[in-house]
Amino acid sequence: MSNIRLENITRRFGEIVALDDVSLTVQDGEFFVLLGPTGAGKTTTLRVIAGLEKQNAGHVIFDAHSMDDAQPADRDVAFVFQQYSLYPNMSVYDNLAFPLRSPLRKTPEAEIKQRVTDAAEKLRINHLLERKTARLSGGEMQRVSIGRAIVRSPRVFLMDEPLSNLDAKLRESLRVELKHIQKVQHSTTVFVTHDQIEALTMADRIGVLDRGKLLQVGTPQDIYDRPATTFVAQLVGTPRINLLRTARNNGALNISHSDLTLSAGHENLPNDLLLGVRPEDVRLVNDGQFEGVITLIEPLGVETIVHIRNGEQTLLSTIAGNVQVRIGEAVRFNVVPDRIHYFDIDGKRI
Amino acid sequence: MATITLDNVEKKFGEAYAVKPLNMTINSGEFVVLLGPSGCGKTTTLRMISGLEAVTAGSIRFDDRDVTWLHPSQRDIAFVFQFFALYSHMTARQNIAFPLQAAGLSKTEVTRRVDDVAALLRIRHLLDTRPGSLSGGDQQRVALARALVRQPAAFLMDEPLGALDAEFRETMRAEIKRLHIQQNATTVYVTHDQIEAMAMGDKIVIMSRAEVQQAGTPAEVYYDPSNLFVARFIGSPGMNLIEGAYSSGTMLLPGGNTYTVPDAWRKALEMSLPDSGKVILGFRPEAVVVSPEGALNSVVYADDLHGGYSMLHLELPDSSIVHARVGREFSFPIGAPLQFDVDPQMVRFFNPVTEKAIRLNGGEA
Amino acid sequence: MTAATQAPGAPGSPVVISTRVDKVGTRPKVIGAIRAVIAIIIAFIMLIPVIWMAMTAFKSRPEAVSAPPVVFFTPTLEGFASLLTQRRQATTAEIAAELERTDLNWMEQIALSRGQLVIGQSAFLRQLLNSVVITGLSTFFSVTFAVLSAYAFSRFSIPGKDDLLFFILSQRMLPAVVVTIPIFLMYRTLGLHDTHVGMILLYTAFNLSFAVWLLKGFIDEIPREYEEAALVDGYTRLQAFRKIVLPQAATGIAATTVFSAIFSWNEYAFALMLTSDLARTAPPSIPLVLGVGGIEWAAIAAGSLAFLIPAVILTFVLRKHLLRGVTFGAIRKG
Repeated sequence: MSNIRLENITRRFGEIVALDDVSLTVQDGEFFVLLGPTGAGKTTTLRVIAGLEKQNAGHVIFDAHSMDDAQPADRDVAFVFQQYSLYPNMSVYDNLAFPLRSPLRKTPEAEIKQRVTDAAEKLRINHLLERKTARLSGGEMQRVSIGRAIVRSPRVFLMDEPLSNLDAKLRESLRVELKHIQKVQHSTTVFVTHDQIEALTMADRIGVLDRGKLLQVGTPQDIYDRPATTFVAQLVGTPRINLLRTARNNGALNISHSDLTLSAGHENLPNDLLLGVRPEDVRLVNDGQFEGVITLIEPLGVETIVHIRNGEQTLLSTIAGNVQVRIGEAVRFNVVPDRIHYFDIDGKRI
Repeated sequence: MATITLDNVEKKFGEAYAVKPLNMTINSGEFVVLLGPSGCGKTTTLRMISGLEAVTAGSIRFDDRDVTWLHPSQRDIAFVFQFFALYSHMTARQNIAFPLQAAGLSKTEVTRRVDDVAALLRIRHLLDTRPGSLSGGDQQRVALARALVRQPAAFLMDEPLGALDAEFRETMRAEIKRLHIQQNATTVYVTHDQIEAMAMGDKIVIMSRAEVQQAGTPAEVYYDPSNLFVARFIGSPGMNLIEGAYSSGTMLLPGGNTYTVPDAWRKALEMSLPDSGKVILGFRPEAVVVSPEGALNSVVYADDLHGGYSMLHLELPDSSIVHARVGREFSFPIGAPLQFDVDPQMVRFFNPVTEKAIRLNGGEA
Repeated sequence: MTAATQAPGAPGSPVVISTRVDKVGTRPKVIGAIRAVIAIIIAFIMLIPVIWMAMTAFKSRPEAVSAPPVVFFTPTLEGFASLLTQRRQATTAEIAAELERTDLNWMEQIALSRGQLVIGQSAFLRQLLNSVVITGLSTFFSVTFAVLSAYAFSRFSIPGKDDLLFFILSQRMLPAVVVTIPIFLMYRTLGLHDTHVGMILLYTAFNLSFAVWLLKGFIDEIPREYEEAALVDGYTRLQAFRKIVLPQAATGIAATTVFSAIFSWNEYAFALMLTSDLARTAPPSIPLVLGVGGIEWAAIAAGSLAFLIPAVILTFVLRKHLLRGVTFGAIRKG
């Protein structure tokens, strides 16, 4: 296993800048997740690390060795694709053995057998080894893809949304399995996803990308509790964070188009700002400081999302379990004061 | 708005059932969600209601009008597709007006109704744009407007949010629900996303293998699933299910854990257990109470932060996994031993042979 | 409140229009049966010329030209005998002598029954063999080159790629007949006239443009991830191409093979202009099967039938791929 360093990577496709001066370090044994919306440059970053794409500027360094001129085959990375990477004309066994049979490695067949069986056991696919890959379910296919990466013990695992084509239940269970295997194997992993839950639940550290720029790098707690920008704040957490345009009036904060006011003590904030409140920090209480009217109730079972309107502002609140309120009902609520996020008008955290 | 009645409706392709004989009433003004994994028959059911698919047997009524063999255009329904089905060579306004023009309404009337519905969906500023330059969410708004403008007897929606990004999906979910509350239109909505179903439905009809598994309110299907399929399918993750052997008030779980059955359940279990004494214990992840005095032993397999809360994945002695939803302040290293209990209010039991839920009165669901 | 109870045109009344209709509400079994019957009728109409040709091939000379045409007749191999032999009119003495012989083969017997003598084999079998050789090799070369260039066009960024692709296609826009004379002159100078090499070269060139386009479509559909996975796994580009892309492109290659082969097999104009004897293929010679004293329709039909068979066999062998090839895009999405 190795650590990976990207230094000032820029990648352009014609006029489009896919990666703009991205620098980051992935530690040995770390589970690093690149999170961002479609077109953010996540996959390009991964492909640059793998050598499938060549950067226009900057350096890719594994341990202390520059990989800038190395072919994909020479970088000793394993790549798990979103889909389509199993060879349909081969059995599961041959798919798993394929990397070991490469002319670079020329592993003896006896050892191949040993390693394929080991990996298959780890991923609980040993009963599938003789099967043609076309006859596998989506979950089985992705297990085999991951197995093909594990079988080689490469320096780095690169995974490009490997779970996104699976149904929700399968995604949940594979997510847990993958995280467990990574922790037990202590393998350096770079994992790309647009799914914030995957990022939060699996990562040691998350790098948030948007339009080719790295916005924030941090642990899941950092990203969730101290988002650097409103973009990051909105990217993680379901339902999304409440963002409220707010004006400062001396020490008090007036939330625009509503009669919600936060009392004094905010003198050092700018005049115009955005206030972020996560839905779980909006609490319905009988003697709450603020009032509003319920406009919508979404009972999800484990929790209920309640839409509360005040003036023209709607706040979402998540409440554990089932809630005994009705649409149109007037309610009182509080926000947890030390969990309010402040952003300037350009979206930067204050 | 119509009441839709399905009377022994079935659909066969060759010998295979796509939908087994189905009886269902969708009351006027109700929002009913057909929920299930792909291939469960939910879309076929919707298409039979719309007339896009012919029934093999049975009859469909809108109020007292038998529509079983009517052409879709004669049923007075509006269908919203997953892929919008907007006409790309027309502006949003022309798209919305299209069904009205087909009906030969006067020009002023068309303009008035298009403007009304556009205001309702907050897309007035987009009316002169073509679908190609609209975002996914706005395209689906236009498609909804085209359906709404006709004021049909029923709305049929086939995964209308399926093609949208997660961020739009949440917003649109609330918007469609809000629209429904305003318009009170009979709506049948198909989805495979249980969160969407829970959030939107007045009633949820859960289907699997061409059959209805359970029909009920979101709270009913979440807290009192009628069988193992529903217990697993609803909730993310689904209900924890552990099979064990019951005898005189306790359950012996695989791997050596012993669970003391709450008093209220003992009679019910003794009445309805199969001879083997096997029973399945079920509880939701939020019912797990981590405590050093807990009766059940486990080892931490993985633990992850979900933002507002954490999910612990606990490995039981027989290496099965139990999911536990806990406060975000909980964090444990992988491999740490952990004791827990289950909130007695939140336990449910299932018969492992019939896979059906055992009710407190001793009957089966 | 339903549509039925409301006056049409009243404010807020429902408007009845057609939503998108994929299946009309009629019972499906009846539709299935009707569809089958229609398909059979269409297939029969399409096959009439082929059936007629097959029948004519087994007719005797008077039956073949009789009007109105005969539908029921006793099959004879007369047409095939005429196709495969050269004959001349026999004198009475020769007929008598022939009748004495007991070692006559079936062709000689048929000739004798019409008062003719077999004086040698016709060129038909050799021409058929020419067709097989020229078609086989030209198909092989065009598909091989096309796979390689289609792969390159599909996967690499080549300067002026779109223009090059158009240039390749533009060759196809040229009516072949226009260039027969220039090519004829060129071939005569180069010594390629009436040679197998010349014909193989020509057909390869002609098939190539179409084959490149067809195969590029197929290779475009093969996800890059397959090869990239192999690249990362330690294989070179060429190895990945051989082990991953080729097996996956089998369907496309089969379809392209059939189309190329059928083109070369049926080609008439160039064959007529550029070959005379040694390299002459079957198509230009079949219509020239002249019997003694008039056109031998049965022989022409027999030749056409014999000529049809290899194409049918090829298509039959590759039919699974061909069908999958036609529905390729549709299946991928499912």
